[in-house]
Amino acid sequence: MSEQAPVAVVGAGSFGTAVANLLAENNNVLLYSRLPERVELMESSRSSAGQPLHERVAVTHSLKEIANRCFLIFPIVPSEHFSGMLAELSPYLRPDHFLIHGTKGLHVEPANLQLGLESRLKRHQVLTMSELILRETVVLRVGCLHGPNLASEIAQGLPAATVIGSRFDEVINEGKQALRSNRFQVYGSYDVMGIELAGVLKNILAIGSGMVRGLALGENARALLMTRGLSELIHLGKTLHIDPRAFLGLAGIGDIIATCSSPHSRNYTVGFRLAKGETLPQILDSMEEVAEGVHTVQVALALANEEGVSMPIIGMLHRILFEDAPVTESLQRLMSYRINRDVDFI
Amino acid sequence: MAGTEPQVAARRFPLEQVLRNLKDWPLYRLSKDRERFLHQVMEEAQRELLSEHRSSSALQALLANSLYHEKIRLTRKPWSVDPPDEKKFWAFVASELTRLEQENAPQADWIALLHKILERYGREIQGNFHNPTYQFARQFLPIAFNRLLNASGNRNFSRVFGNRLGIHDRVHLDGDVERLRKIVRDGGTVVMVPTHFSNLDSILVGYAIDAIGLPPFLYGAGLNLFSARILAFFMNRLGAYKVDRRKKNRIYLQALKAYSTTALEEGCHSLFFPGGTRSRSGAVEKQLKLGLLSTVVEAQRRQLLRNPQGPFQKIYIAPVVISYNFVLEAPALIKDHLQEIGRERFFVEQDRYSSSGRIARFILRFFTAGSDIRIRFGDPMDILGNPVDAAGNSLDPSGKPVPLAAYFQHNGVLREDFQRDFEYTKILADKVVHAFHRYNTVMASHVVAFAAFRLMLKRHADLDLYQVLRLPEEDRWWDWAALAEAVTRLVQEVKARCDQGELYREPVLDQPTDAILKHGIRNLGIYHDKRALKIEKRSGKVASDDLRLLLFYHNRMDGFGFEHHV
Repeated sequence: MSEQAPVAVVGAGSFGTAVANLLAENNNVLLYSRLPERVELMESSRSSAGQPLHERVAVTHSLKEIANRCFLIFPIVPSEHFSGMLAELSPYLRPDHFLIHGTKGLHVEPANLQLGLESRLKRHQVLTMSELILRETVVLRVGCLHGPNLASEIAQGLPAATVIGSRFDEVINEGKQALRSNRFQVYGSYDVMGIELAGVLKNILAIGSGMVRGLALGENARALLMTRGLSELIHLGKTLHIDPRAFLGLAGIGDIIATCSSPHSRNYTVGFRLAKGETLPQILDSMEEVAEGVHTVQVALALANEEGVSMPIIGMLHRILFEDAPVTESLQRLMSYRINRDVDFI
Repeated sequence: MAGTEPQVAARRFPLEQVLRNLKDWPLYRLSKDRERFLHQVMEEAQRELLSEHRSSSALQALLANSLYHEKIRLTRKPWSVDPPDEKKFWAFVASELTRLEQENAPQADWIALLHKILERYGREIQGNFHNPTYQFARQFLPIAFNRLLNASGNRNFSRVFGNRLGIHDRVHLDGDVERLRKIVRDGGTVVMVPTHFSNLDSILVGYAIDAIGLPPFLYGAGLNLFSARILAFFMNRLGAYKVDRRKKNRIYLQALKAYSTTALEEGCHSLFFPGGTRSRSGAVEKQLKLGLLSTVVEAQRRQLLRNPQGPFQKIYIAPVVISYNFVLEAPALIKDHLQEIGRERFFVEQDRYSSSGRIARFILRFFTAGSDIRIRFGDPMDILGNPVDAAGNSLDPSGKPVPLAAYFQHNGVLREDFQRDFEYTKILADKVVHAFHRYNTVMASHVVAFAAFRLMLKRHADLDLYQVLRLPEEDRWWDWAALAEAVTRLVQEVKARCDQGELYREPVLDQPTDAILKHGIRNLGIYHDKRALKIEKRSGKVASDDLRLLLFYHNRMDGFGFEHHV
């Protein structure tokens, strides 16, 4: 085993660190952080993002070292930094690298585009992280890692499962082998885009769910928001040629159940605090890590506008987040929306 | 200038043969070693089939299934080219299957039966390159073409022996031919993948390959073409192997794939139409058949595995786009297409052009049609669709050389993985489709047909496609001015795309709109009984005899996003 190349994790946030520790149960791991002083601190304290580091985790701030020593790389950095990270990593990548990312966000072009309630985005302007990897690097064997994986619970050693989405058996199997343990179960799927979009879009519902909790509207209302919200996401997914089944697995419903109920979820927290009266800038400023869902609300709505999909719940969340619409009134409007059929997406 | 061709042919075709020594021609080498090659093919096919059918019962199921399909074919679709002993052979297979089952025969006996079937298929598929015939054909064909082309100048057969126009004046060869020649000279293997609109494509590409000085290519020709004796004589000797599209059973398909893989692995330049059949709609292919394309990826991987550390024979894909003003089969093709999309029902491909006489008439008519044909060779790429530099190295998105072997490595070791390679085939298919659009040459007739049909759809926005196609004669006309305006806008967009290096155009498109319109209408589907577009002498209006034909030629520019520019 010691002969084997180490497995790399790029990005030492809470999820990246949790994945690195999981991997360390089966492999030597190389964990990358962008900042040299941060790497030094991680080394001296043997901890990262509040989690102690497994003894088989080594740290580095050299992407070159990552690419030269590892075949299997898990990029787990916020979507807004993803293309910048790729630009630095790409020169060292070869076609025999496998990349399995764990980022639940979308890349939009042009990068500094301001998105509003009426904005429209064409599909080709929005890239999932795997699409970005395929476009920016020479690597073809790409996958994604999505599922109900709250970093804090994984860090505590609690049991969990995830899905690796990839077109390639090689990637799924390699990822499984590297990650699997008696407390971590790994499933596979060929539907990369479906898994990615399910994992990304579900963050929107986590924000909404946090709001409903924050206002103490009860579990019935929260279930309503999650279920009807999911139906909106599936409709959007269908116009983007995503098989609805992707939303019904671990990366979709599985992750919705976990993040929509947990105060450990960043996106849930954003919604919860908004409902308690804080403003979005206040909340975001005080958070250490990115809540991807905030940006995703904008992107999803702009895609839906372009495709002509009606998304009342997500439109409402957009108004609350970005147009200071009062939370209570907006949520009330949910009750007045006329819906004809319950399950109309399958 | 990007996107346009010089008005005067800068190159003189035919170019000198790249490989002067016949013994260096891969197809020649193959023909000298037929039996060994055949056995290699059979072994390869058998190995793959057995890897997926390990148990006796799986093998039994495979054999029974193939027998079942062959029995249906024998009764439902018999052809005159079928060998007389076919029924006998399959009756023998049937009795063997029963016997082996009753005797509970060992694995080896089942394999022996599989081997017999594979050998039969292998011999049927195998072509036989014959150099004297090849030399005769390459001398004879251009002369024959020239006579026909000249005769067509004013459709006067007394001119058959004149000598004004050559095939090189009518069939334009564009693209970076030198790069292809260099690849062949340096020992690379080339797979030519053309678009497919007409039965004439294979003959034209065969001519083009010779004209740019490349040795003959291995080519899988439909068995139906062999039913014409004259063609069969040539095909058999030009390196064509036989593809029987009626046979869809697993054993046959595996034999076919093994044939292609093995030939490519041996460095044999090959030609196949990745669209599978002629484009029914008249549009540039968007969806390719992956079967033969997968043999390219497979052959390359096998080459790499042969010598994991050292040099390897590299395979290059050369997309080819053929642009016609006139596709003789257009009426039949578009009819098939409309049936397909309209009723989603299975239809039997009809062989309207397979008897000798018909094919002769077909060729005659085609060349007497006397309108330009453009064949563009796209830049070669590697088997993953990466561009290659002058030395043949694969390049990554940033233009850096990339080691091809690494695509097949897993933790540093080269590995066989069919699932991965099939995904690679899909990636390659996407790149080929992209190249088909990228290297397309827009002709005046395409622009005019596209503009006219789009205007017609617009004018009848309340009707569906089928209702538009059934419009009566009095509604099938266009105002010259309106058509000219649409054409102007389209041509503008075409030019913009050409400037961005996304497309090519024939030189006529740089003339004033009226000239483009006249040229386009005159050449569009010329020599069809019914004209897709014509100019009415009295009114000066443009009219159509047949909107289905117009739809066919319109489709040629479909899928490029030009709809919004009419």
